[in-house]
Amino acid sequence: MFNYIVRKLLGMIPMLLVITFLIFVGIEMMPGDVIDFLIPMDELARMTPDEVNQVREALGLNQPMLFRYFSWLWGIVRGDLGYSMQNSVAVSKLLLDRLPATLELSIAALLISTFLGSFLGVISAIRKGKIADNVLSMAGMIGVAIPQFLFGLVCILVFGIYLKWLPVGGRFLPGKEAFFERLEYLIMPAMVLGISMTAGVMRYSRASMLDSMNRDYVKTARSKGLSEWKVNLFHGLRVAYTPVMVLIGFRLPMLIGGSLVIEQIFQWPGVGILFTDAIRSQNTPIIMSVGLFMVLIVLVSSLLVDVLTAVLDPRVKLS
Amino acid sequence: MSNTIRKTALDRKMDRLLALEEQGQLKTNLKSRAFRKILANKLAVLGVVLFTIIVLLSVAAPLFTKFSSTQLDLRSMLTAPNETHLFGTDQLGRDIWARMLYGGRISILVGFGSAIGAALIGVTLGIYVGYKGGWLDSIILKFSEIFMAFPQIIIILIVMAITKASLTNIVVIFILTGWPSMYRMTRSQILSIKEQDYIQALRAFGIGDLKICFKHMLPNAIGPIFVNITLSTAMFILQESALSYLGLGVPPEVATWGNILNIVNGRFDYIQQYWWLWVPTGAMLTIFILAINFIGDGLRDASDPTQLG
Repeated sequence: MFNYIVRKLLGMIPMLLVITFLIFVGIEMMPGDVIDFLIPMDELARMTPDEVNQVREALGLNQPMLFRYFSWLWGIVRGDLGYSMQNSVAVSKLLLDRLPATLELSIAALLISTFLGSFLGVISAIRKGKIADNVLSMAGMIGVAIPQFLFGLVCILVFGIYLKWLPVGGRFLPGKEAFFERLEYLIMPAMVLGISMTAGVMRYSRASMLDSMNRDYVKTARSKGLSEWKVNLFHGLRVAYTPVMVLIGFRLPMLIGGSLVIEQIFQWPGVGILFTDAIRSQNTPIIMSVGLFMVLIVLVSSLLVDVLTAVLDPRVKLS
Repeated sequence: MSNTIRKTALDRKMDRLLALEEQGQLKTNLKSRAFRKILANKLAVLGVVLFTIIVLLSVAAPLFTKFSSTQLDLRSMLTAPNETHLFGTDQLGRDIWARMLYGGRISILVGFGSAIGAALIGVTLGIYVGYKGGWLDSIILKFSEIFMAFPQIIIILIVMAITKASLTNIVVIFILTGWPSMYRMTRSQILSIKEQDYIQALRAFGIGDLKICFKHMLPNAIGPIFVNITLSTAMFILQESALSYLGLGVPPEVATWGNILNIVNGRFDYIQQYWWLWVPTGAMLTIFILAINFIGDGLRDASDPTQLG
C-alpha cells in the first residue's frame, strides 16, 4: 500500500509539469497581453511603443516563454507563488482571501450531498419498489435534470425575495463576520449546491446498494442469522459505498476551483470568480497557481479514491 | 406433505402470463428483446414522447411561430404573454416562444454534436487501441489522464479567447474534454471482451484486426456506448446552458436555451416581475434533460442482460 502511494505520488510530477506547461502555452497564445488590461485604453493610446516596452520589461514579459515558465516553476519549488500583475499583491495572499469562502461553501455542499444522498439512496434501495423508492427516484431524476443555476434562481426567488427567510447573496455584512452571523448567508448556496449534487450520490448509492444486496456475501451474512440492519449496514453498504466514494472523489476538485455557477449566482466571493477574472485579464501568476492546485487536487483525489476503494472493498487489491 | 405452497406476487404474475399465453392472447410481434423492454418501461416511453415533441418543435420551428429568434421590436419590449406572443417578449422585444424553438435547435445540436463527436473519438480509440494494447495503449491512456486532470474551465476560457466564442468552438471544447471518459469506458469493455473464446477463434482464423474490432467486438459493447452517448448529450446541454447563462458560452446573438436565460443573470427585478423571461425556457430545458435521462435509463436497463424483463 505504502509503495503504491509513493509510486503514484512520484508519477504525478510529470503530469503536473505537462499540464502546467500546456496551460502556460495556452495563456501565451491568447491575443493581447496583460498590458491591455493593466493600463486604461486612452492612456495606452498616448504611450509611445518605447514606454509600453518599458512596462513589459519591468513585468518581465520580454523574456522568452520557456524562461518565464521555468522561473515560475522555480518560484513554486521555493514556495513563492508570484505576484498578481494587476496590483502586485502576492498571489498567496489573494488565495488566502478567497480560499476560505470556497472551502466553506464546497465542504458544506459535499457534506450535505454525501450524507443526504447516501441515506436516501440506501432507504430507496431497501424499500425498492415501494412508494418511498418511487418518490425518491423521481425526485432524483428531476434533481439531475434541473440546471443548477435555475434551481438557484428559484430558491432565491422563494426563500430570499418572497419569504425573506434568507439573504439573496453575498457572504456577510461588513463588521458582522463571526460564523453564526454569516451562517444565514451560507445556508442557501450550500443547500442549492448540496442538493443538486445529492441526486447523483443518491442514484449511485441506490444502484450499488441494490447490486450488493443480491451478492452472495450478503446472502451469507443473512443466513448466519445477522439482524437485517447489520446485514445492510456492514455487509451491503460497506461494499456498495465504493462507487459512491468514486463519485465523491471526482467532486473533490471543486474544493479548490469552487462552483463557478453558484458563486456567480449568490455573489459568493470565492476562488471561481477570482480565477475567471484572472483568465480574462491574462494575469498569468494567478492562473498558473490556481491551475496548479486544481490539477494537483484532481490527481490527489483520484489517488485517494483508489486507496479508499481498496480499504472499503476487500476484493480490490492495489497494484 | 402439504400442497399449499404460498404463492408470491411474482408467482401470481407468472401464472397470469401463462394463462394468457395458453389462450393465445400474448402476442410478441416485436422480435427484439431490448426493444420490448424499452416499450415496457413507461418512463422511457414518456421520455421518447417528450423528446420527440421538443425535437420536432425545434426542427420545424417556422411552422410553430411566425417570429424570428433575432428580430428586435423595440415597440413591444417585455410584453406579457398574449395571443400574438405566446410567452411574451424579452427586453429587446424578441418573441420568447420563437427564441425557445430556435434556441432548442442550437442547444440540441451542441449536445448531440459534442456527444457523438466525443463518442467517435473515444470509442474508436477505445476499441482499436484497447484491442491492440502495447505502447500505443499506454500512450493514449496517459493522454486521457492528462485531459481528465486538465481543468475544463481553463480550456474553455483560453480557447474562447484565442479563437473567439463560436458554436463550433464550444462543440470542439466539449469533444476535447468529453472523449476521455468515453474512451475509458469502451476500453474497459474491450479488455474483458477480447479475452473471450470467440475473439481468440476469430484471430486463429486469421481475420483482420479492424474487422475483429468493428464487426465483432463493437456490437457486443454497443449497449453501454449508447447509454453513455445519451447521458453525455444531457450533460453537454446542461454545461452549454450554464456557460451561456454566465455569458461564457456561445456568442450572445445566437439563441440557445442558456443564452435566453442569460437575460436574467444578476437581474432580480427581471426574475420577479417578468416570469416569462425564464420560467418557460427553464421548464423546456429541464423537461428535455429529464426526457433524455429517462431514455438513457431505459436503454441501460434494456441493454443489460442481467436484468430480467
